[in-house]
Amino acid sequence: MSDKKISVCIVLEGSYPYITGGVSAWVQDLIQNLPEIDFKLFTISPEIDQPLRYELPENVVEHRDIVLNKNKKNRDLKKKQKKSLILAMVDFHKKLFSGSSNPIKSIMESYPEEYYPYRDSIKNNNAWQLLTDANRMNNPLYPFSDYFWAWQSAHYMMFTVLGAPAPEADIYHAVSTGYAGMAAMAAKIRHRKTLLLTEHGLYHKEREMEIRKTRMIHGYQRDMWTRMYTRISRICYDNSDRIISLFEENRQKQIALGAEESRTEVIPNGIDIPRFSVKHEKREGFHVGLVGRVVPIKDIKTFIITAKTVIDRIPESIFYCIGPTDEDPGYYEDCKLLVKSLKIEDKFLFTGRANVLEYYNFLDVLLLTSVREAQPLVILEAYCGMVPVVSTRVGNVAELLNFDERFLASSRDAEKLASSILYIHDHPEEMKKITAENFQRVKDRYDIKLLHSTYLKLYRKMAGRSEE
Amino acid sequence: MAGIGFELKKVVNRGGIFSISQVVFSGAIIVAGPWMISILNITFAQQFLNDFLAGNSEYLIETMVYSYALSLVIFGGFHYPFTRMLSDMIYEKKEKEAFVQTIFFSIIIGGVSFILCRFLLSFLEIPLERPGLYRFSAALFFSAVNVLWIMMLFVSVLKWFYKICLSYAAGAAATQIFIKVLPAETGMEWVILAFALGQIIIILLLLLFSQNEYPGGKERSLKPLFKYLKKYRIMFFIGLFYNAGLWIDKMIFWIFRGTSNGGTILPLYSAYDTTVYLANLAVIPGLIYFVTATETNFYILLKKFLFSLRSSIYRDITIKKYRLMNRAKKDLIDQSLIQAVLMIILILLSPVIAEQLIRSTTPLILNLSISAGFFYLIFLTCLNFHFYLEAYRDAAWVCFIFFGINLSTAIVTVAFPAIPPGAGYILACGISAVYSYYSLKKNIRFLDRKIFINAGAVD
Repeated sequence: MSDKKISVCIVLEGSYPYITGGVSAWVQDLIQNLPEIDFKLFTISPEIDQPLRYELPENVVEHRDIVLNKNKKNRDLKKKQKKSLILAMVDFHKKLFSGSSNPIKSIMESYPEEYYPYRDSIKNNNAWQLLTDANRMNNPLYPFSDYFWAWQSAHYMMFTVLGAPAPEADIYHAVSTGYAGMAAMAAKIRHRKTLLLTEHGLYHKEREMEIRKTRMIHGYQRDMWTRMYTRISRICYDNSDRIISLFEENRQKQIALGAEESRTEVIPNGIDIPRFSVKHEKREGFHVGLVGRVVPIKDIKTFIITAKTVIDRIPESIFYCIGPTDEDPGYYEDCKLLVKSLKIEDKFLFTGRANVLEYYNFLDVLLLTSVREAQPLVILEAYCGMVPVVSTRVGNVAELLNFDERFLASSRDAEKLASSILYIHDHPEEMKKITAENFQRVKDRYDIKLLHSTYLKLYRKMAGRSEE
Repeated sequence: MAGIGFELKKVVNRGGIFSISQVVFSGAIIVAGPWMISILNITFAQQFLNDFLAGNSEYLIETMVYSYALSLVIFGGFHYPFTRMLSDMIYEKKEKEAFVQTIFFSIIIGGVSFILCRFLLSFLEIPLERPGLYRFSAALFFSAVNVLWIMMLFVSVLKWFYKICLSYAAGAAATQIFIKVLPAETGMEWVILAFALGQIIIILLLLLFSQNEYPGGKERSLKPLFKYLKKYRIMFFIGLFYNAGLWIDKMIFWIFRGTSNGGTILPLYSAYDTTVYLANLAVIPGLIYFVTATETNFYILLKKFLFSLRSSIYRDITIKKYRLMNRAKKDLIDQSLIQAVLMIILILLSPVIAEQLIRSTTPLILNLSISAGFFYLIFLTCLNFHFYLEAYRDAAWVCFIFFGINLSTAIVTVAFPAIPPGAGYILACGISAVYSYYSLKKNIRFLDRKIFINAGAVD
């Protein structure tokens, strides 16, 4: 048995340790509860010197940050080597476009660290021809400069992450596909280690939703970006040794996109059951809480409108928005204005960062109005506190709510959400039974200790130390 | 010079013999003004002062020739980044600042060149009655020539071609007056001083015109100048190799075949020198066509191409790019045809010219020089277009090849006397013309790509 600790390099994009949220909390919890593992962080950030939102545990022994859009010193390669690499990339792209089988491994094996071939790729005749041909095929009627900048934007980031030198580790653990997945894949191939991929949501689906909403990207560019992210996810699946999703529906989607079924597995989220098992005490009034950041993805505005509907019916209701308000100040102001315009300021409270346990112990309903979620831990936390849940039907929520349509609504359906809340209000005896069942389900499937032990076993197996 | 070209184009478009004559005259001044005036001065000195100065004009000729040659070879490299700075400042409507930088640069170059020349002359024995005066006058002349190049860069960018003509005419007249006023008949030192003062008159007139037009520039530091010299240091090498390439064969012949006539200091090789100077004047018609047609057409089509990059589909960008390339080729051919016709005429007349005008040469050397001029014009045109495309590295290579071939063939010519002088120069001009043409084609072909790379400029 080796005395050396297993080292796991966690590769993240736009989350831990700079952004708070479900994924970041999950990572922090995993690191804290596996002290026998040395963790190294390899993060991808949009800007330099972002403040840390989490105190890094002691077993984080290294942290390397890749800043996109920052000029990097390019490694000097021999002309022949550069040409060979770029031709290999051109060939790879051609196969990608034609849908042929296309191992990226051979390219990555000859792709050195700290080499960023953006300029070299444009200078190369074959690569430029590929770019202009693709433009003619996909975008013949739009200005070439639009296409070029879109290509540049995507590929500059790609080259940055592929060329970034990763810390040495036994296992590379990417917490999404996308650029983090690509960086982890590059590190795995270069260092000849293993790659573990855990997807909380489906990266390419999330990006697709964002792309479709934004006004900055239009027409053919939407398809271009969407296709690119889908292809990146597929490449990550092809090169991952294990692919974890939080629930079965996502696992099926991974398989549908090309993930090899034998490599996929479901490891659901877990929570600290003793910690969240607070004694529920009925308080005067009817208390409905949403635990989450005040950001558009949580759709607090629908929460506010739902609150208005319920308050009109149940005047003693009080609504709590429990979570940080500083992540999107503009959106927070909009929400406050909405509360004011609906004249529910005395019944609707923004608590800011708070100890959620203090709220679980008296909430009558936990409401979730998110437009996008994976497997929200807040639902499991509420179950531990014997709080019933009403939610939009996103991610794995339906499974967590036992597919009970009485408590599920489509995104932005404030009316249905309100009627679900009213149902809970009107059926207290039935809700006691349901919350007890929910709590049992949490104990059976979503214990955090199970999560930690599963990942520890997985790390040991992937590092070739199963006997430990 | 595209700006001046557009002005001349407008005049041509008026039609009529008078307009064409005006363009020919103005064009000649613009394209070859300083060089032409210098040649005329030297020719005048050689032909007419000889009797006046009892056969001692060689000192003047040497002083002038070496001054022009060394001013370009030593300091010519600086002219290019300096011109770039002027163009940028004038584009940004900062003419006053440009003028201030011109003054600063002139002071530096004038001072350095005076000190350098005076220092070098101190090692030479001057067999004249007043060697100290000679050294001073020669250094002053050298310094004035250098400052005049710089002033010309400024006024050329501003398109003041009538003011340039006026200043040069005044300078020439002033030279003659100074010769009369100073005791020139007592020694060449005074004649050289008169020429130096004539150059200074030109400088003062150009300064006066500039000061009237752009008084009160606030920039008081040399930072802009040094910034450009650093940023565009590749342009220094273009200037260095180009000017060295033009003069290196002559210098080699001065050293190995030159003679110091009449006990003078610095050798010249008059069999070749004068031939080349006058043969270079023969490219003026081609240069006028270049300024009025070739360059202006290139500029217009280049601008259209650059605009297309912003908002056109790729097919249109490609069309405009190849339109630029094809038009450049067509204009180059037309320009070369005009020059070829003149070249043939001069070659046919070369025995007469050699016998009557340039007595020290032979028809063969003259023919070689005239033919070299044909290729030189192509080389110069293609080199000029490299600047439009900001292909400075390739331009530097083109000039280096020009310099390298001219240097090596000059050495070979000296080693093998059967090879006539000028053979190496025509080879240098010919190969440089071909290389620069293909370099230009390559740069145009990759122009869209290069612009997108540099615009992205993230690494």
